[in-house]
Amino acid sequence: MIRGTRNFLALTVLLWVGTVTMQAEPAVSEKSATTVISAAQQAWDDAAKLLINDANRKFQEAGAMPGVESREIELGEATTLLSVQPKTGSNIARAETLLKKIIAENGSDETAITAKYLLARIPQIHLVVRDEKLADERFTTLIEEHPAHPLAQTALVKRGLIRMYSLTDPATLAERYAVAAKESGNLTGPDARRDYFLLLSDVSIKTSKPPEVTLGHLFEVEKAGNLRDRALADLYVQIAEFARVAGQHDVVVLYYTKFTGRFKRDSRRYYIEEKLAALRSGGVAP
Amino acid sequence: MKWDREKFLNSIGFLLLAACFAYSLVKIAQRRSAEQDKSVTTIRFAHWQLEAGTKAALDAVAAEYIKKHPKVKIDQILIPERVFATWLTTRLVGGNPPDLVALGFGITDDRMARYFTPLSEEVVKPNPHNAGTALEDVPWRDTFIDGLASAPGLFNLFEYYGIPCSMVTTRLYYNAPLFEKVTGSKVPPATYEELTEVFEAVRVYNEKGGNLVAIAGSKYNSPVLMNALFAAQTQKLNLELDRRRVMRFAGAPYPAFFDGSFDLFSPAIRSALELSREIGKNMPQGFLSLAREDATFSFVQQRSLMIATGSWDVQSLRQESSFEVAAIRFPLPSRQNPQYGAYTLGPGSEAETGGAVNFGLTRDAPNPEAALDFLKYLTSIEGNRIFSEKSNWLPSIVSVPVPEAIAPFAPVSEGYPSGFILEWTGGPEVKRIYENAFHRLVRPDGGVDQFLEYFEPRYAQAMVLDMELTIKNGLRTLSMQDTTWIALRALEQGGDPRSGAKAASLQEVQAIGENSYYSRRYDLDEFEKKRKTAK
Amino acid sequence: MSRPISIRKALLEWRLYLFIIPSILFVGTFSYFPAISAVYHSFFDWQGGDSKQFIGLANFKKIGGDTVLWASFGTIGILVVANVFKLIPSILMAVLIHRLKSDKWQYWYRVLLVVPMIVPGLVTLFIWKFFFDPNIGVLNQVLDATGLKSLLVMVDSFFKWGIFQDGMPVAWLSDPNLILPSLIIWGFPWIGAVGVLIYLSGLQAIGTEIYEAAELDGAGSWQQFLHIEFPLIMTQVRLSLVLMIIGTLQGFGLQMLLLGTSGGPEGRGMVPGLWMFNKAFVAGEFGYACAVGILLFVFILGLTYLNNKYVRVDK
Repeated sequence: MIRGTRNFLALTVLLWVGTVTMQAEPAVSEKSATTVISAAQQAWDDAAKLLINDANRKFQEAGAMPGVESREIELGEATTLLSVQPKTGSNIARAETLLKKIIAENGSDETAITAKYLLARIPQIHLVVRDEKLADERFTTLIEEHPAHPLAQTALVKRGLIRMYSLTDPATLAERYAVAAKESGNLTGPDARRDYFLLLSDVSIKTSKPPEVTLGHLFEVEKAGNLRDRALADLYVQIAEFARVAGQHDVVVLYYTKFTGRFKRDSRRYYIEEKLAALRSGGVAP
Repeated sequence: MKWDREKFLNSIGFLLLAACFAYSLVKIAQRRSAEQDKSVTTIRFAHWQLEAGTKAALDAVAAEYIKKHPKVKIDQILIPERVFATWLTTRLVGGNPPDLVALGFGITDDRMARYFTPLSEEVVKPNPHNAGTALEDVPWRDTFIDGLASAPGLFNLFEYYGIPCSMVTTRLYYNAPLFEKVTGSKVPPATYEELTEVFEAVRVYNEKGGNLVAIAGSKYNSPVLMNALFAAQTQKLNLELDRRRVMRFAGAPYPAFFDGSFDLFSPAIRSALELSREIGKNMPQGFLSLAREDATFSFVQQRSLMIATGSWDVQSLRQESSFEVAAIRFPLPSRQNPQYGAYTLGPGSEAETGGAVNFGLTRDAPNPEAALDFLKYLTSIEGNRIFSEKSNWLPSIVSVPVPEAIAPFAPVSEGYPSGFILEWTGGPEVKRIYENAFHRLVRPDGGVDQFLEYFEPRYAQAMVLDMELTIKNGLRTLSMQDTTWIALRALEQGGDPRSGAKAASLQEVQAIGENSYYSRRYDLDEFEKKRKTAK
Repeated sequence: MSRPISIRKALLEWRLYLFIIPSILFVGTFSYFPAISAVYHSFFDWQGGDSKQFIGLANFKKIGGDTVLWASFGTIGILVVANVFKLIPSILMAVLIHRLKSDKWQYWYRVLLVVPMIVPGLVTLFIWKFFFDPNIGVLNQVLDATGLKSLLVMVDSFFKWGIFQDGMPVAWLSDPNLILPSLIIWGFPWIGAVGVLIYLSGLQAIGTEIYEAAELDGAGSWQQFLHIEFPLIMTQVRLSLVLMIIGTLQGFGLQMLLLGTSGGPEGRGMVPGLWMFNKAFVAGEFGYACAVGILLFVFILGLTYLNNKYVRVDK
């Protein structure tokens, strides 16, 4: 009787432990009626909101659905693997494998171009030990194969950063700047032009170029457009200030006026209004 | 039955425990039954603002709201700052958060995206609680003084996640009657020169038997004033070092330090340190080891004449003090000051003062519509006015008048771009060695040279470490942005134009960030090469 | 020590072991899991949130060049030595209470010792912070009232320390030269209730016949302590030593409260635990802080091993 009671108690404990353990297992994902496309959209939506692990899981689930061979799903999985937490070398390697597979299947569709872009970004910013030479090569491939595509245009900017700051051919920053300035004509997309000329303007300052040179780059940034308020406010101030140093007073007045007209709540406004007033009256600004 | 005294005494502890348990059970049961009353909608909101007056003010707003909505009950949950992050994380992960939560502690971008509802579609519509006012047709976003420019989530997620109900500024409070007694004047100092006259008056007062300290100091309060003075001394220097010429407070003078155009022996830095020392001499001995409460007690007990702190302490100080508490902007050296004027432009501009006490709507909110409506009421002209008047906190809504009692705290737009503060690099190392060295600056036998003797040899390595951390954090952000950018592009291609706009914004943000990342990396590498060559 | 049971017998009674599963789960979840998590995260660049990147041994390599960390071990070494001496008052107090003839007075002294335990440790720290206040703190007032301040000023002028000056309150927590003395003075008279009770329990196990024999042999009070009481409470002393070493090496609450996260003036109060806290919650380098924690663990383990090996307990 006692032995039977002990066995009963022991079995009860075992059952309880087992139930708790099983319930702790993640529920088997239900095969919902959602199509692959909308599953991908949901996953992209998660990724856009920084819910990377959720997005990666959804891409994997979508990819595991029978009969599914969506390159977009593979791209989604690879994209999210680059940021899934914890970020590990093996995840990055898996992402790279997936991206190469996408490219190998068809190297010219939108998905492949995106894959080429990400493939170049991996050695540039995703690896613990970066390989910017490899990134440069991959960006070059993308640019040569799809020069007009927005991602290739963006790649010109990313490659520009590598060549300017990381590679040493030519040897000095000033020489590399000169090469990069000449290549600015390759950029046709407005966003890419904006970003590229921002880079050139910064480097022109670093290499102590005359203010007119920096001004030229800043005007190109303005022409390219698409700047958020804060960046636009900074741009107006930069143009006005470099114009002031270059002695182009009309430009100073124009851009200070643009600034004060548009940006009412900026901590520089009062100071700029003083400067503007001084300039207009022919005085010296503080 | 024979009464057993010993048994009774032994059971007191148990009976006490049982009584407390029974009381708790009853309280919980009562609360549960109230919650289960389906005819009543209970809105819960949580925050950490334990300062005097804030809870009462929010209760007053809630009471007015309930008058209009009798079937609503509003519960305020106050959690101390120190444990807020832990408490919030537990509630969010557990799926039972309050409806509205103050955003700040424990909130990262991905948590905001996961657990909070973006309000971007709401902020472009007018606030219905502004009906019949001048703001009736104005989008909710534009009714805020800062236009929600600093709303949580806007910069990285391109969505509005938080709605502020106040703003904060910092000021120098003073004991008005004691001030008049010590200085013989009711007029507070407007400039640093006048402040030094106050210091002198306090010294004379102490010689006659007084035991007064001019400014209550502590680890918390002293930087409030000292940093403002320091930033004023580096205004011109900041502009000189700003090779990009954006005229903005850039944080640390990284590029200038790494390219050798700035060092700690700059006259402006020396002047700023001298000024800090002067202020330190007028604070209690050993103020660095004192806590915020020590400084507050010193002020309310009239052992100090002045104290520097934020507008969030107005109500607390006034309630605890038996005297009239007034406040002024920090008295900065004027341009005519013979010792300090050469380096300053003037008072800093507060034009970009952002919203404070931002509330977010949780995704798992039990009553999201009601909670959102209450939030709109809190940030309507009427609601925000009640909150501001009762709490003595600044309003966040345009055309809500600043109560007379806190008029000195209203942000002043007229001013100049701020300079930089030496210990603020965005990293921990420079701050740490600055704190370690600071006693050398302010102790009686100390000074700028003694301070620099300790600080300067360590500064370069600390700047390098802080820059490395900044670069590492920047790289982490950039790599995450790759994923979100591709995702937004994919959504745009799937037919969502909003995602396209966000993708464009993110591309710009990433470009600027990546530019900065590479530039800093380059500057740091060049600096390290120079250091190795110099060795 | 009990004899181990055979595997066969254990297997026969396997059902009984199921009853310790809940306890194991709790210990595993709340004690072992955090430690394992710390080991795991020490291989990551982790900011404390959800994002982390695997970086292998980089955190441990960084420890090698961390001069602040290694300097903090110097500080902690001094504190450990000081704390060894600070064990003595508790032992002496236990002996004094033990030697009281009256049981009633023994009882009341124990109660008086235990009552302060209801005050939370944090409150005690705050009170000591107030003691150290240069302007209204008790310590400076006592020094002034007893004339000790004048003595210190005299000694200072002889040795030219520049710490104690006439007319200037002693800045206990603002002067780098006073940081370590302040950390050592803290807790005066260093009589811990728990320690005293532990030693008392050991002393009470000593039979009266041993004392009688000692008296017959002409042993005085001091000799009784040295040759009877102290050796017979060595088990408790060793336990206290181990706990003290672990507590001192891990501890940083005192330093953080008194000096802040930067370790006070010139970082003189920086200890490894505080540096670990600083790295986690100030610098946001949680992964590196975990690595520092692992190093501390290894250190403590090593010291505990040495303590067990060389602090002998004669049975």
